[in-house]
Amino acid sequence: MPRSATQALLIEDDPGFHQLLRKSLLHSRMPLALAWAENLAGGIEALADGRFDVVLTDLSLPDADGLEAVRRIRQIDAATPIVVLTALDDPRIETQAIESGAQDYIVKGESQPHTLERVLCHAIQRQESLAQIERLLAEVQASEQKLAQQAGQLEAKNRRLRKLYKTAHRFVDNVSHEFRTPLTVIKDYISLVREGTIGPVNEEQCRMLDVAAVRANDLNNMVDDMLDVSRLEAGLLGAWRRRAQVADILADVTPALAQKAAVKRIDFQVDAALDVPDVYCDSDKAGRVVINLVTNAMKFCNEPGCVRVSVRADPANEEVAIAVADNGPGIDPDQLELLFQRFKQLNRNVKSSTKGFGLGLNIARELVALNLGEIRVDSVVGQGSTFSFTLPLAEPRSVIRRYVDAMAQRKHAPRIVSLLTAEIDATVSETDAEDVDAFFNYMLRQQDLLFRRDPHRWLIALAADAPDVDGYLKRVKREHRKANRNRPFGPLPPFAIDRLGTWDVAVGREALLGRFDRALAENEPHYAC
Amino acid sequence: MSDDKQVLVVDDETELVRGISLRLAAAGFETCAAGDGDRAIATAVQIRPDAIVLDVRMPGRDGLSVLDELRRKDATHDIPVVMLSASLVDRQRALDAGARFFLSKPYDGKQLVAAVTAAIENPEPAEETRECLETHPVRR
Repeated sequence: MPRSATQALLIEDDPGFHQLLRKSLLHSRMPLALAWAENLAGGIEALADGRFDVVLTDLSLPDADGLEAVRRIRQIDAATPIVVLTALDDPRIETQAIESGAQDYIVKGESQPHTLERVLCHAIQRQESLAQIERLLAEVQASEQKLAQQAGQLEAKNRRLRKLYKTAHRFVDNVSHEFRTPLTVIKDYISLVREGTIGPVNEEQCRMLDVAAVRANDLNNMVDDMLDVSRLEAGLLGAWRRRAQVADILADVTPALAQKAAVKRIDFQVDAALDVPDVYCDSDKAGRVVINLVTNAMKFCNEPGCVRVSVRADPANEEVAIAVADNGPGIDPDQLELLFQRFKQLNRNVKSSTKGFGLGLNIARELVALNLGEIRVDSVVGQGSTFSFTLPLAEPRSVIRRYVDAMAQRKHAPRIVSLLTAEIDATVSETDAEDVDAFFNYMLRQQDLLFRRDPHRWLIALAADAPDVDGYLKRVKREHRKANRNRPFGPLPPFAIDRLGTWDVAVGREALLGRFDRALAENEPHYAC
Repeated sequence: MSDDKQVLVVDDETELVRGISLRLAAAGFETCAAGDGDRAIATAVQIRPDAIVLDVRMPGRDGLSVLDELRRKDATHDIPVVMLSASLVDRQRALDAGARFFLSKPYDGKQLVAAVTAAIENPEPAEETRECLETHPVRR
């Protein structure tokens, strides 16, 4: 007998019915093998080896009364489909049989052979479906349990992160408070003495107090940069880019560096940087990059040490490069890449006292990026290294080109750029115009750009995933009111904002720059020259 | 105009109180001082100054709680208050609590004098800016 035949077990004490059934199944279209047990005990024994596809059981067995047979079979075998044989066509028995775990019932003597066959077939299918559903249900429950578990873990992680974040925030706030409090006294006393409020001050005392005031301000700006993280967290720009002269940037930072070089007996030379066109950058941050690079060069130069700062204008690339060269050991080409990473100090021979945390170059790179420039290093082993960084010229096209390139390199490059102009009345005072510049700068997010075309006109580029100039204008209006609320000098002067256009970044770099160019040309400011 | 206008200066840092008082005196204000919150309230009730310069973070009673009490007392509720703090997170809280101006430490001397002068001249913010309770930092 091939195994593909359906294996059926009949539990029935009446041999006559057994014969009848066997006979009627002879003509069935599906191959069917019928085994027979005379009572429930025999049936249960036969079921033990699990080879049956379906069980037919009578309800009046010598060792079981009524539906007890179905219940007892189900106790030992949950899977095999059961079809009940009954002498009475009673719907109540049908319901009870199904509730006890049977799949179907047949009224003895009423069923035609093909009906019987269909009932068996359906019972098997129904039981299979049921098993399938139970399997799926179990899987769903398992997944649900797993999901709940994972959700719980995530929630716990979130709680921990929130707590850490709060702690970090509080720490930063406390540290900034602790730094600023003594700085307040220092700055206040310097300026009180300098202004002559306490008594007459001679010229040399004035000069020294001015230097002290500038240095105290530097310290304060550093605290601001390091600790005022709220703007960066909010995705706002932490820089104030403006027209600047390289000579001024260097003049601010090189005296202190020269002093340091003198102490270390390092030959320190700085280019005068005359005849270099104006650049567009946050001068404080550009100055900080020079300090970091020179400090780094002083750390690694050979004895006698030599560090040289040079400035070169590159009109073709519309930029100025500031380079810091040392006479140190140089850097292996394969180590150059690691150089700008956080906390990485290359395996170089340095006196332990000059070791830092390896943050300087990493910070330098971030500050250079904020100024839309590039940083690079050229090094020859045995001859020294030259670190250099670029600053864009203070020309709208040069700044915008770098802005577009920087935007394309962002992790989530924005899809839409809008160009606006802002203008204040030409009679507005310089201080008020400066505050308007600060205001527009304050409104910038990291992906935006502000360019001051002349003292009273600005160019604003807004980048986003969807055009949102209206949202920007709404924010400007709101923030303008807020600014005026805390401005003892009276409200900021009124300004007018015009839209030059909105473009899809997908048109490509060149096309985008071309469109900016055209929009700018049509809106050329009228210089009085 | 600042002649015989009196300003109460409140800060737990005595050197800072001295600096602020000198600066205000140089601008023509009369000044008096308090080194903590409780004394600030007692002095304000007693002499009813024309303006108060109030530090936010002080040991014991902080400036925000002082401002709150000043606002609830008949004798002091309309005295304009210029608040100072070295922490920028206090800016919003101070303006929310009803400070006329907020200056971050280190403050600029001229700005401090301008803020006190403006607070005495216009103790209430202009109508159109009243609902605005936070500000942006203007670098000078």
